[in-house]
Amino acid sequence: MLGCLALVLLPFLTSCAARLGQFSQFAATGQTYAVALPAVLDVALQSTIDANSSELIAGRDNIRDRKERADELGKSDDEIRRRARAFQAIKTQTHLLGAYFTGIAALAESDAGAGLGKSTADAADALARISQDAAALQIGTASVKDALGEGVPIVVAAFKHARLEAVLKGTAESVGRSLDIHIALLDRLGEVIRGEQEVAIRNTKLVEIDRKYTEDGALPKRWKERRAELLLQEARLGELEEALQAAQKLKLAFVALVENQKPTASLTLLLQDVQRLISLAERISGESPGEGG
Amino acid sequence: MPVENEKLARRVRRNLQEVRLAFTDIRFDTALSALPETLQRRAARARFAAALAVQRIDNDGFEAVARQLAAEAPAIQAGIAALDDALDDLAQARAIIDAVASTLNLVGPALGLVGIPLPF
Repeated sequence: MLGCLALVLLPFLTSCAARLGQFSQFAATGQTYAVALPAVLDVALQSTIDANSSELIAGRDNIRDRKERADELGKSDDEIRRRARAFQAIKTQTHLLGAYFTGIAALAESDAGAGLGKSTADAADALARISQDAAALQIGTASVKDALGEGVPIVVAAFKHARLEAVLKGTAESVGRSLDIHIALLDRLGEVIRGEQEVAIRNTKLVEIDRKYTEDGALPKRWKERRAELLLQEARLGELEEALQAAQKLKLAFVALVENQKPTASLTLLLQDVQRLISLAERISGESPGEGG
Repeated sequence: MPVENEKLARRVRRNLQEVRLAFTDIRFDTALSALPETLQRRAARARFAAALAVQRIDNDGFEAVARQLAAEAPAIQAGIAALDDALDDLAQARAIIDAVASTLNLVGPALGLVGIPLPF
């Protein structure tokens, strides 16, 4: 009988396991993204401060009035603080999205099925010790203990599946909209990091390389190497473009999950994008162009 | 921010960014240094104003993003609570079955409930 039951349930179990796997993969990618974004926000803030400082220093010689200098510095600081607050608010919301992905992963990957199966088998054992009748009970050719032990994980998988689907249904619109906002955010962050880094690198190059070249006298010892470093740093900013597609692919994966389709964007590739985003963010923040101005 | 304003803001931002970058060009820098001091000062102010305007446009955008994300938070929080509930339900089911097993193990032999026929 248990064999018949297993045969009947096999297609359901297979689709259940595949669907739980889809939830699990999507959740893992979402968790990685939720960890990566705060690092990107930190790089964006650092880039803004670098560019702003380089411009303040560059303009300082032309603005002699102390009050005017103080005013420029104060206004710049105010805007940087404003950005830091906005980024903090975005980080808080990203942590919340991260908690959602963690919750999905926890339920999809929970080993409650196996644990409950064992507990049920233990209970059947205990009952068998009390009653010889209970010990002799069978479902088909299997003992009650074995049948319960194997049946419970099936019930648990169905339970997890149903609850995950219910949560997905309840949150699909909000999570979908959040991911759309993240796509726009990463697009904006890409523009900001690229733009601010460009300003900071070029200001540094202007002072350390370009002016030295146009002025009379010997060039600094490392002039050639430093010129190459700064030009290459600027060229690498283009790499941001591709990595910043991560949120877009995450949205595609989410739509596929909601519609129970095979994900259009490979989740493995998506994870690679997210990892690249993190390493690029780390590298850019480690390659601060210098004082500039 | 309405889409049209958003587009306009991005266009203005791009132009202001070009102004910022112009100041980092050695040809512009050399030409500027040949101008009278008053003009150099005006140029420095214009540079600062452009940089500040870019920061303000970006900040308006980031604040809007934070507000929009916050608006989606209640539904996501409800989803997290539902996931927690499901995990709690599983844990509770296991706790109940574990308790039944240990009760049968302890109480059964203690009360001499061994070898009794099942009531079904």
